Amino acid sequence: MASVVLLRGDQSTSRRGRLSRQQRKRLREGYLFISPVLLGLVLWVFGPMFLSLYYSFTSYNVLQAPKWIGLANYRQLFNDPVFLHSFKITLLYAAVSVPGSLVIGLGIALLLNRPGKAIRLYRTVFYIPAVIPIVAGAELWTTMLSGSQYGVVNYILLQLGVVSNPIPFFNSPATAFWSLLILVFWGSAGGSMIIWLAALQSVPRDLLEASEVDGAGVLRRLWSVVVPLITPTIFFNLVLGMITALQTFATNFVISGGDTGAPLGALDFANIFIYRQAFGNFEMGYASAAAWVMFAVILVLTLLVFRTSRRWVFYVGTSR
Amino acid sequence: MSVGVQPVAAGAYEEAAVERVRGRSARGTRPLRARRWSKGWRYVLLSLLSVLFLFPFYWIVNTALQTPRESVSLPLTWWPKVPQLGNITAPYSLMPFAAMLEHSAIIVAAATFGAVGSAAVCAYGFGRLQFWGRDFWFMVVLTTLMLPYIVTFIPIYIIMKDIGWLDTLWPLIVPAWFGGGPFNIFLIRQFMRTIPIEIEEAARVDGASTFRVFRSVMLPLLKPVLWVAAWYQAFASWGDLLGPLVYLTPEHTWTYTEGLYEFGATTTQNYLIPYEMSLALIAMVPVLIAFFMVQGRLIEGVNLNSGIR
Repeated sequence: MASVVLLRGDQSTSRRGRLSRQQRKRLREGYLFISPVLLGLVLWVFGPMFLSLYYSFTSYNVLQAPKWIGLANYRQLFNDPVFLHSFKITLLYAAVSVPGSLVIGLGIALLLNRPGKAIRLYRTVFYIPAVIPIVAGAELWTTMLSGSQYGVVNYILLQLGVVSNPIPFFNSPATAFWSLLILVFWGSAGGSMIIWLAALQSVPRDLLEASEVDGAGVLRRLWSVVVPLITPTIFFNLVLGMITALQTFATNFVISGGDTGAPLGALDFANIFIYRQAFGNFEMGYASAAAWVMFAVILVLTLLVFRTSRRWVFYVGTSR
Repeated sequence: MSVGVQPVAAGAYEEAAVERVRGRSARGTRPLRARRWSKGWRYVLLSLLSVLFLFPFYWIVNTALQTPRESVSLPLTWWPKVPQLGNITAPYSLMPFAAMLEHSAIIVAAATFGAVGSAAVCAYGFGRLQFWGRDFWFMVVLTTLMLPYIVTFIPIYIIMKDIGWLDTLWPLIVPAWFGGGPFNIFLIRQFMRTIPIEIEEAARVDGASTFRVFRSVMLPLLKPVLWVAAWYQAFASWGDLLGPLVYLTPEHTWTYTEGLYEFGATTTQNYLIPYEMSLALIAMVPVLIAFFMVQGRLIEGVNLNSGIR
């Protein structure tokens, strides 16, 4: 791959005149240095993408060769209530969890945005949950959020008289989705807080002082001075957060105790669905089609955010 | 939550501004009492939040050290009468956790070494060398960040199966050696931009080859960001569930994370919860130690990362 590009590079420039020996050396060395990732792109990205697209038009159970069935997988997907349900709740999850952890992270960052030793300690405290391995964290929270009175959260709520019966948490489809958000916010607030803090520190002090002298109130300053200045951060977090949220897998897998999406499919997110089709039912073609639908959704949403970003993201020092 | 937080939080700006403006404007002479009040509330809120965030850590230690009986009796035990340190090794007689730890260690070490090394090499190519097509390929690499892993996961599984790598550690190590992922390359390249190019030019004038300059001049300077990249890769490899789940089927080939998951999923009896929690606790310990070692750099790294435009 690298050598093909190198040749073409040589040709296109030689039309304008011969490459000097040094230029040629540069080209060789440059591609030598980036060859690991170029090889990786072929082996682990574009090659598999091509294969996966092909599988998505076939019926393929790994044991027998793939059989071409055209668009049948896609047609079946859009008539599969389980698939439609899992896509719906995955989108809902992204729509709630991404802004949710951004807002919580911002709240904590605003509380912490002052110099001082104690603040550094607090910052570590809020960040630690973000570095807990997902499986360990999910098992800990399923224990704490047990639906019986033996779960510590229920126990405390019962003792305080906040509830009269234990909350079922992950035992009931009505509460499982929202219970998931508890541990997700616990784990993700710290990461977004760190990024917010960095952004807040980049807000020039004199702007805040000037607006205060002009009589702007506290909320007004937050909304009209701070927020516009950190829109690039909001934008960046929104895009990455969305892509990550749509691909949630391990947390739900651990809570459900497998690829069932239990209770009653309440945690059956897109990637759980795809995993079940691929490695539970060995429907590689069907799973690949679902994966491509997922890819299309991510692509469209990302482009949408990029599109609208022109209207609400401001870069300091550029005329855009 | 945000509703309760923001008004007080916004006070941060008020205070900071007041401090700076004091002496210059009339509002600078604001009564001290008001500032103390706001400062007090800030700490009350922060402390309450800290308790919420830290409670799970107390609870995992508390549960991990209980006897099976204590863990299923009411009222709940707030601290075990006799902390059961034996719980840490007891699960090892139920599943081969020692072998799983070994597999995880091999994967983490090999994948991290490969990812960091190859990411540094590629980042140098993208960040410092000048050649035709460089920026195009860099954009291609960055764009793959958007690709959901599940799209390539199925064909890669079939490739690994075809070359006979199922139930071996290779599928969990080898892909990391190809640049270590777009994020690590980006991270290292960003850091490189803060290093003045004159240092390399001096070495070049002395006749060093490009590779020599990279090895002897650039690599030592990159150390801080390489630790950050190592942390990210090690964290991902150690905590990975999907990969081991698919590639390592027989029990004796599992990684620690996979064993932890299977232990939790298959032992539904409540009295085994202390064992499960002690296993989960052990999964957290190396990560926390590593985190405290790279903490300062990690936050710097994220700082760079937020500078993306």
